[in-house]
Amino acid sequence: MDKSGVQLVKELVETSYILPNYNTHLIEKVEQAVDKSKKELDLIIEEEDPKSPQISSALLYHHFAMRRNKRYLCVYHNERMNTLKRLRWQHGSTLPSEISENCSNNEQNYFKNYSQLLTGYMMNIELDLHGYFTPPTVNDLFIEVRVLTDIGDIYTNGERDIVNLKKGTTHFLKRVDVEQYIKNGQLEHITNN
Amino acid sequence: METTNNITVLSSFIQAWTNEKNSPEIFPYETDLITEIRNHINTQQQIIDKNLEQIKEEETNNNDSQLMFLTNIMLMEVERLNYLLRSYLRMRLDKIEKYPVYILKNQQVRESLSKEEQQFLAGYFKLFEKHMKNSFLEKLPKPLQKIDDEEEGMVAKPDVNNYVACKINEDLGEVQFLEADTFNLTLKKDDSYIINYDHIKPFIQSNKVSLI
Repeated sequence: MDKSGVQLVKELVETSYILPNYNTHLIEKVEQAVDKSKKELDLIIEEEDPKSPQISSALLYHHFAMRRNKRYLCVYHNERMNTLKRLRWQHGSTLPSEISENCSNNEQNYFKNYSQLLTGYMMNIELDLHGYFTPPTVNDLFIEVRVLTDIGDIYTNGERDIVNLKKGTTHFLKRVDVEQYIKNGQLEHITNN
Repeated sequence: METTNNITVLSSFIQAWTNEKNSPEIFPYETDLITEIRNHINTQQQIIDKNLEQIKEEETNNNDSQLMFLTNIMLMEVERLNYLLRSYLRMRLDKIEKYPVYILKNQQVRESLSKEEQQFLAGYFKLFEKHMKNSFLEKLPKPLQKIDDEEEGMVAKPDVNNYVACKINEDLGEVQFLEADTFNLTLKKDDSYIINYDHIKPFIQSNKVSLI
């Protein structure tokens, strides 16, 4: 029995990468296995009496084998889609190149289109859903940051003010405005420790 | 009167947020609540801005610290509301992405989404279907090419059999529930239960029971 389907899903579970390389090879093997089952199924139906218990169990075997392989493929693609969606929320609308290298063309298109869909929705409701991923606390409202690399001008306070983030300067800013830069490592959160 | 109204709006919104958080299902979109909350955020933000301007302009003043203190409290409120608002909308998007086929097939649920959410749902499903088709579905034999085959278990549905914590809002008397065998519970006001979500679903919709 072809084990490609199991391997495919195992790959996702056992990987230490965010997104391992799109395994076209294994996917093709699974598709071939499905094809093979279908051909055997057709052959049996043509030549044998489907009412006998041996024949009907053979038919069921192939039937379930096909559906199981389809399920493997679905799970594989679905999990990768979920990872891509998560990356969109965490990283923004450009995929880091190490990750897009590991994606199929279809997946890259999916990411791009999902990103557009999200942006469209946010424009429709006139609200940016990024930021505010955790409930704010009193100490979190404004934080002191030091600029590690030149960022330039950024909007703060809901696009009412502009602050120039030059390397080496420190600022006391709204957490929400600078969250992404801290994540990127461009800003350093100064705590009094 | 304004204050009481604001408190009701806020507590209703927090309840709506709690419902979304604790339930696997997606609730009807709270159009009025959301509009009011967003208006409130904008009004407060305007006052905050005005205050900050005023503080900047004035020289060191006794009243400064009072105004700053007040403004900080308002700022905190606005930030909390901003968080709740976005969290609410994001949780709903999450559920739409998890159960697109189920929602599409279920007219009542679909129509209870906001107009923008319905658009998102349509776009999302199209995207999902296209991706699956192009990646491998097309290469499978015809009978396997369906993406929304209920028989195969391909349609994800919210799992209503999880247990949730809830609070009873009014005296409901003795209610019968069906499980392995039927059992009765006397639901009194202010009682709390941890119970199978499916059982109290109808009560949540009529607001007789709240999730906590």
